[in-house]
Amino acid sequence: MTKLTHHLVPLLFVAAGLGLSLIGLRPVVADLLILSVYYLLLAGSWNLLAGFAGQYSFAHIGLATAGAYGTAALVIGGGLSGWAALVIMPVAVALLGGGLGLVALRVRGVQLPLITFAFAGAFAVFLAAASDITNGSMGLQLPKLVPGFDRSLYLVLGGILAGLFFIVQNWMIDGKLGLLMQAIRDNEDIAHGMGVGIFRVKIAAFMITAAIAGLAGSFYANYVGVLAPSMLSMGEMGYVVAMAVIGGLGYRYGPLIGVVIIRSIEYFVRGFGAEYTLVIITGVALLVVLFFREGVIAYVSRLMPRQTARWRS
Amino acid sequence: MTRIVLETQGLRKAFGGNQVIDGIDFRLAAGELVAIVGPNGAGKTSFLNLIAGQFRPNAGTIQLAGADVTQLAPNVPARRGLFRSFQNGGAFGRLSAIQNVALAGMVRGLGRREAESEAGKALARVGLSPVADWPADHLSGGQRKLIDFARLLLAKPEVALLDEPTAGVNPAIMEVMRAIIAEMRDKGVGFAVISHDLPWVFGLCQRVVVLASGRVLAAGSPDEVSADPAVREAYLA
Amino acid sequence: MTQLFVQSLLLGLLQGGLYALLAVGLSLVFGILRVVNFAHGEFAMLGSFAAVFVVGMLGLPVWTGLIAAAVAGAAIAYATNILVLRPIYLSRMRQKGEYTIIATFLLSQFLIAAATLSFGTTYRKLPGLWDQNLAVFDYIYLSGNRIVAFVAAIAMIALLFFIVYRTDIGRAWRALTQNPLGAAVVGIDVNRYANLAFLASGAFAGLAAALLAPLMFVFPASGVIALVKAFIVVIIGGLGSIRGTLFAGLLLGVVEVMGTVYIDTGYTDAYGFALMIAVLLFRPQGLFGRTGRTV
Repeated sequence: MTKLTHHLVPLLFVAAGLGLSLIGLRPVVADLLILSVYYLLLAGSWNLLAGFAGQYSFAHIGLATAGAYGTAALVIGGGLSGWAALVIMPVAVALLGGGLGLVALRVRGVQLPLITFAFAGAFAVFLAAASDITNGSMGLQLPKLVPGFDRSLYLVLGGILAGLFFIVQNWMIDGKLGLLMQAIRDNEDIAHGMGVGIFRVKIAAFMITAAIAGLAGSFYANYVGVLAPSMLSMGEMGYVVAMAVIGGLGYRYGPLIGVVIIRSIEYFVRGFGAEYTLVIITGVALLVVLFFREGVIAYVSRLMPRQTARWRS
Repeated sequence: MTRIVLETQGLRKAFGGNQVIDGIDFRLAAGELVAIVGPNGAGKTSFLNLIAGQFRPNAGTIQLAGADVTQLAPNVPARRGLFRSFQNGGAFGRLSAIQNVALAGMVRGLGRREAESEAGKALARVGLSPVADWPADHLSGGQRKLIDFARLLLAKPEVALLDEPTAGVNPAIMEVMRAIIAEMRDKGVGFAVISHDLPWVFGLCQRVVVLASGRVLAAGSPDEVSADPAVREAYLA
Repeated sequence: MTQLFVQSLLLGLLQGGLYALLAVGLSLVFGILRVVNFAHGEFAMLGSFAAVFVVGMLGLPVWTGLIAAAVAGAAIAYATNILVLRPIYLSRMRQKGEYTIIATFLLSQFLIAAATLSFGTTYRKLPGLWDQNLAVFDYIYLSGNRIVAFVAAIAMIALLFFIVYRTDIGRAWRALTQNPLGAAVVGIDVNRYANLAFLASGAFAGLAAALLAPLMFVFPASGVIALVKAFIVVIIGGLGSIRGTLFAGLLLGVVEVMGTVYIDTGYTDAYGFALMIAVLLFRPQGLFGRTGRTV
C-alpha cells in the first residue's frame, strides 16, 4: 500500500460515518458499529504500543475505564458537557498513563505486563469497592451528547474518531517516533547503543496510546450512558488483545481486520447467548495464536507472495 | 601530536569472580586505526561494551573526545560521537534496510525524510540499493554487516568501534568495508577494530593492541607485534 | 490496642502463607523458562473446582478434595506446557517471551469462559477441615481453617525448598535458572525439567486455591484475583526468587490485613498494589531480585 492510500483511509472512515448516519441503519447494526469504533480505538492503540513499540501492557482497558469514569466525573460532578470531556479526558489519561509508565518502564522486560496487569486488577477492585463514588454495580447514569437517543450523531462521531485514530497512527508510524519505537521493539540493546533514548521513546508511546484509550473510554461513556465497574474486566482486555493478535500485531491494519472478524463472529453467534460467544471468541483467538502466529494479514500475504511488500507497513 | 579522541585508564570489569577486563589503558588519536586482536575470551568485545556503555566498569575512566563518559548509559556516548558495530550485525529484523540505516541519521537529529534520503545514498555506496526495502530479517549475514557500514557513513562519528566486521563476509564486501574505513580514517575518524583476519586488519592499521585475559599483552606496529614471542604463545595456548 | 495488632499480624501471616503458595509456582516456572504464565490463576481456579466436585458432588472427605485440586492443577499445567508453550519456545519466531504472554493470557480467558459455560457463575464454597474458631492467649481468635491452610502452605513451601536445594531435580532447575544454554550443553534435558516445573507449579496453585476455598469462594473468574495477588508477590519478591516469593507473600498478607484494620476495610486489594509501587520505586528489580548482564 502506498502512502497515499494510508492518507485516504481516514477520509474513508469519516465519509462512511456520514453516509451510514444518512441511510438509517437498523439500531442493532448501528450499535454494533458504534461500539466497534470503541474497540478499534483500543485494539489499534494497543497495537501501536505492543506491536510497534514492543511494550505489552495490560492496563489499556483500565486506562479506557479511567477515561469513562473521568468523563462521568466531569459531566456529573463538574457540570461540563460531554463534548468537553471528549477533549479533556485524552490529556488526563495520557498523564495517568505517563505516571504508570514512569513506574512500570524503569525495569525492562517482563515487569511491564505484570505491573500493568496488577494495576488493572487493583483498579477494578477499587471501582467495585468505592461504591459511594461509582454507585457500585448499579452504575452511573450519564446524559447523552444531545437530548434524545439519536444514533446517527454517534455514527458520524464514530467515523470521525476512527479517522482521527488513523491520522495519529500514520503520523506515528511514518514519523520519527514510529521508527524509534520499532527499533526498540526489535532490539532494545542495539537501539540504546545507537543513541536512542529508550525511556523517553517508551514513555512517549505509552502516553500517546493512553490518550487514545482515554478518548475511547470517554466516547464509550458518552454513548452507552451507563457506567458499571464491569467495564474494566480482564475479559474485555482479552477481547482487545484478541482483536490485535488475530489481525496481526505490528501491522498497520491488523487491528481493523481483527475488529471486523471478531465483531462479525459476535454478531452471528449472538443467538447462542453470552457464555457461548465468549468461549467461541477466546477459542478462535487462541487457535490463531497457536497456528497462525503472525495473524491473518501475514498468513494471507504469504498465500500471495507478491503482495507481501505492499501489506507490510 | 594529534588530538586524542578516546582514552581509557585502568578500566576494570568483573562478572561474579570472573575478571573480564583487568586494567586496560588505551588511547586512540583522531585519524588513527588500532587493531584489537587476541585469542577467544581475551575480553575484546567486553572492552568495546565498556567503552560504549553497555557494561558499567567497576573501576577506571573513559574519556570520549575530551569529555568523561564513564558510567553513562550507552545512548549518551553514542550521541557524543561514538559509533559501535556488533559482532552479529546490529540490524533490526522487521525494519527495512533503508529504515535501519536512517535511524543512524535520526539519532544525530535529522528528520525522518532527510535521514531516509541520506540512507539511500549510503546504501548505494555499500551496494545494497536493490534490497533497500527488504526487511533486515530477509538479508544475508554479510548484507546485515554492510548495514552497519552504511550507518557508519550516516553517523559521522569521532570514534568508531567495529566488532569483527569481516567475519563470514566475502572478499568483495571486505573490499567495500576497507575502502569506507580508509576514507573515514583519512577524514579524521578514530577506529578501533576487532578482527581475527590479521592480514586484512594489519593492512589497514597503524597500531595493534593484543589483549589476553583482560589485559594488554602487547602493543605496537603490526610487525613488532607479530614478532613478539609472548603474543605467539598467547595465540597458541 | 496490642491485642488488635497481634491479631492482625497473625491473621496477615496466615493469609500471606497462602499468597506465597499461590505465587511460588509462577516464580519457579519463570526462573527456569523465562515464561510469565498468565494462565497460572486458572490452574488455581480449576483446582478449586476439582475440589468442589470431589467433596461437594461425590461426597468424599475434604482432604481428598485437596489432593484432587493439586492433581487437577498439575494436569492442566502440564497440558498447557505441552500444547501451548512448547511449540512457541521450540519455534524460531522472534520475541518468544512476549508471545508466551499473549498465548497464556488468551488461554486464561478461554479457560474462564469455558469454566463459566460448564459450571455457571454461582459462587461455591468448600467445607473446611477444621471449622472452629480457636482462642489463642484468651483474647485472640483465629479460624481453624486458616491455621490448617497456613500449616499446609508452609509445609508445601518447605517441601519445595527441599526439592530445589537438596535433590537432583532441584539442582537441574537451578542450573537452568542460572544458565539455560550451559545447562543444555552439559546434557540437562530442558523439556523434562520444564514439565516437572509446570507440574509442581500447577499442583501448588491448585492446592493453594483449595486451601483458600473454605475462606473465600470458588467461581470461574477467581483466577484473575489469584493472579493479581501472585503478580504482586513475585514483583515485590523479585521474579524467579523462591525465597523472595515466600517473604513477599507473608509481607503482602500482613500489609493487607493491617491496611484493612487500621485504614479502611473496603480497599484490601489496593494496599497490596500500593506496596508494590513503593517497592518498585525504591528497588525496581524486587526485594530479592538481581539485575543481570544485559548484552
